Amino acid sequence: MVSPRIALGLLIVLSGCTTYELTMIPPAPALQPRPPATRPDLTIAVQSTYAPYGDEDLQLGDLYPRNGRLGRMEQNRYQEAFAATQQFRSVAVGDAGNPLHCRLVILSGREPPTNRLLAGLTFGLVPTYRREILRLDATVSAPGRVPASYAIEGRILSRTQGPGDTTQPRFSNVPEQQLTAALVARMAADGWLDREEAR
Amino acid sequence: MTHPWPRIRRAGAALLLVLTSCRTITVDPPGNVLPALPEAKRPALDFALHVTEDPQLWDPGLTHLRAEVVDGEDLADLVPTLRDALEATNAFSTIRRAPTGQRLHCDLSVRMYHMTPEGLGLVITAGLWPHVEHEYYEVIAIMSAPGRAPQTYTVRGHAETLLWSPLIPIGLVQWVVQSGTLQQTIDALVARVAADGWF
Repeated sequence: MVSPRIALGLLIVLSGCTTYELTMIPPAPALQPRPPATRPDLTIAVQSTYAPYGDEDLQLGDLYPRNGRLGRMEQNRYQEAFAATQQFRSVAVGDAGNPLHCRLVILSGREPPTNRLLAGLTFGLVPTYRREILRLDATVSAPGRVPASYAIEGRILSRTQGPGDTTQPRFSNVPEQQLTAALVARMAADGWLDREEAR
Repeated sequence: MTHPWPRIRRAGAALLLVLTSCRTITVDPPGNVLPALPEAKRPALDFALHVTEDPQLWDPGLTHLRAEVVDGEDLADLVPTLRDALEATNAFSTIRRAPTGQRLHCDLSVRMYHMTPEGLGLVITAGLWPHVEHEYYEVIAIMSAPGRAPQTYTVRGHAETLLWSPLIPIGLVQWVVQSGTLQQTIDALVARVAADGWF
């Protein structure tokens, strides 16, 4: 017979998880599969900034560029997110001038977790919620074509349950991947990915 | 039943006393006495903050470890700490993070490094093995004000703490060890700035 204390401990550990609810503005079209032979090469440039979250919005008067370790992490995260769409033959970090280029300007921020005291007192059985805003402004360019801009915003609600440290940055890259997929779907709908094929 | 809270408080105070008594803080150059300005005469201060984590502060020979710029939300988390340290000098009427403008401005470049022992070693010995923690700060401040030539000040702070911490939560130990050094470094800086008539 398992003692009630061990059972409670197991329940706390096993119930420990974080889920995300992402609201995308505007809603994105579905991304269609692309045969490997027709995938273009892509270069990206990423510029990311942190804005504190307050009054249910980002506070634009108090900005912190991610120009160090976090900036490099963001660059890798989006490089992987573009690659994960399976729409490109290769995704590299680079300047404009290559056949297809996407310059991403990212602004994001998250609120401090709510219910932390209650979550701590109940060893994580009471979930902790955290809201976050992630704005992507993308400028897509290719030689001989007028650049186009796309803006997309994700509002993320994280729900953490369990004995984790809710002050830590979000571990999962899923929201970034979903937003990037939405951005690529809009690029594809405008023919940016087909242009390479025509050559 | 006797309530345990007074005992916990006494134990906590004893712990603080023991830990702080094993700590040596040196500030170079040593600070003068902070100005005792009446509230009405305290100037408003704007400041900018740049932070780098640099292992070479501990050992200049560690050329394979590069300095890391603290950016984005990590920098945002440090701003209140610096603001609190400046506020604690009681030398300024208001303090805000802002670019150079019409007020007294301090551009702070902070290099810092915390040399903490290996976590695994601490766990294996349950803190029974005494060890030394080092904390380094180098603050370069460029003071400016309308109609006055900017002036640069450099202050370095170093704390060395002998720790013998059986079964004490490491978070508490590090909180004790890492408090005070930055404050004394900022105190020394503000004292020098005041001595040069910036107020």
